[in-house]
Amino acid sequence: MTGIPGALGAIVGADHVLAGDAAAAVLVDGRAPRWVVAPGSAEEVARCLALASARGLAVAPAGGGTRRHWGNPPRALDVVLSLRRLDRVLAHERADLTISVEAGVTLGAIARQLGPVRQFLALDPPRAAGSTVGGIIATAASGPYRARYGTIRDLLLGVTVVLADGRLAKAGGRVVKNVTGYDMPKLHVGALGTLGVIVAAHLRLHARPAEEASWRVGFGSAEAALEAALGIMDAPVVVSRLQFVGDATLGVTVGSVPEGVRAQGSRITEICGRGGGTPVPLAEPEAWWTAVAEGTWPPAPGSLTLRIGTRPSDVVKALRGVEAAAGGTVSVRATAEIANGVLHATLGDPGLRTAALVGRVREGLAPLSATCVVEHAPAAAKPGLDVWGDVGAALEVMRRLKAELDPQATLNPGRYVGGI
Amino acid sequence: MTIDRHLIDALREIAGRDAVITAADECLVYECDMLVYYKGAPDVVVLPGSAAQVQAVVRACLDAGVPIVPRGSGTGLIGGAMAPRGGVMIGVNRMDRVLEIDVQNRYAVVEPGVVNLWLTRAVEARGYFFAPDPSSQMVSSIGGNAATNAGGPHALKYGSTVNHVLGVEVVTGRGELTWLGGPVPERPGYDLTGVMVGSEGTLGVITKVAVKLTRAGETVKTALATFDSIEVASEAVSAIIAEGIVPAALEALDEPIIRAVEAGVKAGYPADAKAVLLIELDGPAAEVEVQAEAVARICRARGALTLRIARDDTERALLWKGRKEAAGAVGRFTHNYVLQDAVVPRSKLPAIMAQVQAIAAARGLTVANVFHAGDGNLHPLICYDERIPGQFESALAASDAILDACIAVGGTVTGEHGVGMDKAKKLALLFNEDDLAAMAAVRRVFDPKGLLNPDKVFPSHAACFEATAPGRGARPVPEGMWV
Repeated sequence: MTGIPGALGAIVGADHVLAGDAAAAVLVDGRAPRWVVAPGSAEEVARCLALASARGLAVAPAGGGTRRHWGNPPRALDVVLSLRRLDRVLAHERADLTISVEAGVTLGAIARQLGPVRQFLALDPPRAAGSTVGGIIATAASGPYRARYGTIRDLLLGVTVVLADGRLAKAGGRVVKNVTGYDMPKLHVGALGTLGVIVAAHLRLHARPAEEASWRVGFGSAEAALEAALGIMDAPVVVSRLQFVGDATLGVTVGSVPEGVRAQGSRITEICGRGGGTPVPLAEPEAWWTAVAEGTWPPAPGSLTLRIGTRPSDVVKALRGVEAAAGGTVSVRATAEIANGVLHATLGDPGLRTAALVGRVREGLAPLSATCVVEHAPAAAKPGLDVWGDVGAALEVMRRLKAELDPQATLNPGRYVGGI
Repeated sequence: MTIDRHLIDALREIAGRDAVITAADECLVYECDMLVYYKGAPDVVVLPGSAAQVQAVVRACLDAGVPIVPRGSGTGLIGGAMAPRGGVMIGVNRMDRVLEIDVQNRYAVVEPGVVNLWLTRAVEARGYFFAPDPSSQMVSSIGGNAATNAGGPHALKYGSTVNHVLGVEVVTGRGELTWLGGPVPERPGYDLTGVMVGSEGTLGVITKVAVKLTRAGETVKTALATFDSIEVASEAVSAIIAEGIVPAALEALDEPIIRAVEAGVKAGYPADAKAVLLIELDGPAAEVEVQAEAVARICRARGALTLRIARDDTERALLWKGRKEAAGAVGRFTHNYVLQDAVVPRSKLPAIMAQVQAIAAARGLTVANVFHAGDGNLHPLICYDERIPGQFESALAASDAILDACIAVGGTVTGEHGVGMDKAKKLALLFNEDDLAAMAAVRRVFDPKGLLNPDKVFPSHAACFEATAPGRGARPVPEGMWV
């Protein structure tokens, strides 16, 4: 190979560069890259990016591929930069409850390593096992556990990124408390890799509770389920998950010492009982929760998947707004992390009417000041869609930030908010 | 610097005559935060009453090319809310309204001058609190807490201020007034809130803060354990964390501190103890009960001499009073001291505590410790007497050596106090030029003229102020300060 693929091969080894049809198989929103490159170290990532920026190539970083189509379609795409070979756990400081990993390490691999010592990385986004740490940082994907443990924003202690021009920059550290300079790791959380390619991270871990129990609680209506959820939030119980599922069901998880699980379970039973719900213990909680997660992701090819941020007490109103916008012609399935005010709505294939439908949903949500991000839409509909929605006046600041850190728009051009 | 009359007239026009202070003796009140080595009085202090006024003040200063220094209650410990180049200080203390409290949705929106503890007072009857609890919380402002990403004893379980800020309204160094983030989650776009919090006034002046409210636990239990030495106490701390128990707070105090506290506050710490741990557990009653037993077992196995649990809220409050006022009591046993705020991975605590003692002893100095042990966040107070020639320099050298030792075991430069002028040069211990260049790029995004709180945070600016520090004839850190 000569030219650009030759140069990339010289950095990462020819075996780790795909071109032609093999590269074209790795689509990003229907767009094929010219090359797929898999560096084996942070330094190789740095050299690849230095080359890409020198040659004016557009680069899309890639992790486990579980959320590859998030964002707007790329404005340009030359290189998919796979982080999968950066898959080493660098250090697990068991007594510190921290772990340091390369970006391509999957949550599944971390769970396997930590399981025997009863520690865990408290993130449970859909398809967690195959999701990489770098991808989770870039997408800020989360799951029901955020009710108790927060999101990657709260668990990320430090990060090393390769900037667009190939310079390595580290930020934060591996201690749990740190105000040394700006909190730069936060800038990469949810940034879809547009400010730098994440190559390593230090993460905060939690100890597994001695016991964890989950219940399913059916109610007569979504409103009754919400009322019970708000009652649980207002009670002095600590829930690990508090999930609205389907039409009128709550899923609840409590983790504690056995006595604590029993005592809090009784309290939750009492609160739910007031709304006519009876908690049923889940015999196989992991399977149930996996099914809940996979109800939203991965999406069916033609479906529209929305992530709506609202106040917890407005979750059902937001859902009703989505249903009204869909107008009965398109099916709506929903689940929500109620305590966090995050509603996931999956709409059956709206086809070419997608953009209009999303517009109606956003209009309907405006009185709630709710946010609405399109996580998935039918490929044909995406070019006419603003997947992120209005960012407000802060967009100007975001544009300047992108211009400072990636002036040539090497990283994921066009895919982020406002076409950043 | 000389401030143009037209600017002063403009500031009066914007904020009202009584909100603009120009008399040199009155401006002197604002010359330092609680780290009084670093002195620099502003030429003008403005006390605006609204975000719109802050914006107008910032714009007027930008037009005139005059530095702008935001200030909350001035309880920082870093040479932060002071004006080394003079210029205009914006005191946010008059912006002290709680604008919205939504307990059901667990958030509040406040103006930056609202005092930390006021917010908890406003929601505690409903069973909620504002979790960040710097020891200064009865005085420090939420705007200042956000600007410095303040910590506190309960950061161990609940996180620092950044974990509790949902959004901020700011005036940037380009004069824009804009919300970053807000009460509603999942906002698309970069987490500018995350980078604004802890930026120490160098990226913007915070004019509103949306914060999380936290549900109080069903029960709280506070235990006091005594040990033979701070090293042994530190081993117990590491053992508790290693067991997977994360208390709400896990604080350590050593002998000199204990004696000073008992001479003053009389918190009920055994006066003959060489070290105490203050351990607080909160949450569901059944869980707290079991964890309290586990903590007691670990402490005893690790050499605790005594362990008692506060019987009631009064006793509990007293134990905490001792902790929160500990640093202020230090004046009882030393003429002066230098305070360090470093962090180590918590398993490294026992080793580092031994090193801290050795570093001080090698220079003939004593060191007192009161710190957030569970986080590995040290606050050694290196004692000296400025009347003895060379001691101040020795104390500074010891402080630097402690910081180096912490960084050598994977620690960091500052855990909760911040950088300010004091540690601007220390960033280079942790970050190389490329790391710092990325931070500088963020600075340019928000403050292209470099007029917001100049000479803070970044090492490139620090050197020229060495001549003004240290000051003599005053305690480097005054009595009544909080760590």
